[in-house]
Amino acid sequence: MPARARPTSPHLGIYRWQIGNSLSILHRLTGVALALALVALCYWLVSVAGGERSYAAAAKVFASPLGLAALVGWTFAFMYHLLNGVRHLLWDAGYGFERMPRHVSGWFAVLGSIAVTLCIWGLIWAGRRS
Amino acid sequence: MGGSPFMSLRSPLGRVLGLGSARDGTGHWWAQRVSAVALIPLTLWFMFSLLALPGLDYATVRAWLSFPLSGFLAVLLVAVLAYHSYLGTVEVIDD
Repeated sequence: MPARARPTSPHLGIYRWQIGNSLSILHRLTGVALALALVALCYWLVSVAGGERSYAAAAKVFASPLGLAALVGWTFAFMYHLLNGVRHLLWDAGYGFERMPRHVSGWFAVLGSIAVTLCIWGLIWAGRRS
Repeated sequence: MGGSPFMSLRSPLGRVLGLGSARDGTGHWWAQRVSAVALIPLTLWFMFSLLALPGLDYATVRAWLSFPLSGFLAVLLVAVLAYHSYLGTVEVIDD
């Protein structure tokens, strides 16, 4: 390690808490959560390939309270990461940098992902009862 | 490693200590965007397919995945997801 302190990138400790950096952090957190969801997806696909018994065992895991909580959490994580990801792609294309579109699209990503998650699981819940 | 010392703007000491960018930033950035764009239709296809299935019992799911296009897309989904996840977690850890 060099003896002299090198300049570092702005890091978490010095930022004022505001919507922009909170959403960026949430994007990364949901991304890491979704990387774990990939493990679950593989487990589920392999259980299908494994036959009726392994599928039943996997279905039981996903239907457990912890499994359901994970699925609901992953639904939100996916919807948020998707909407916020589109936001990032639009920035990359050069759109939406001004304060208004930045904040509006940010809130759209948060509220939209919560709304879609509630809709999906509401539909599933309603379908189960009928 | 960067040609003649007279052509490089980096100090010899900086080069020896290996400071500065890792030089593969652009490739990483592009790969992340391309896999992200590919994942938009793939993940939505997967989600809507699951929601559209009449049930999630073994026979239904098996029949769905046995359809060649579904099987192919599912494998593609896992592959691109793995690549995008790898790029993303590396970025989080690097920072």
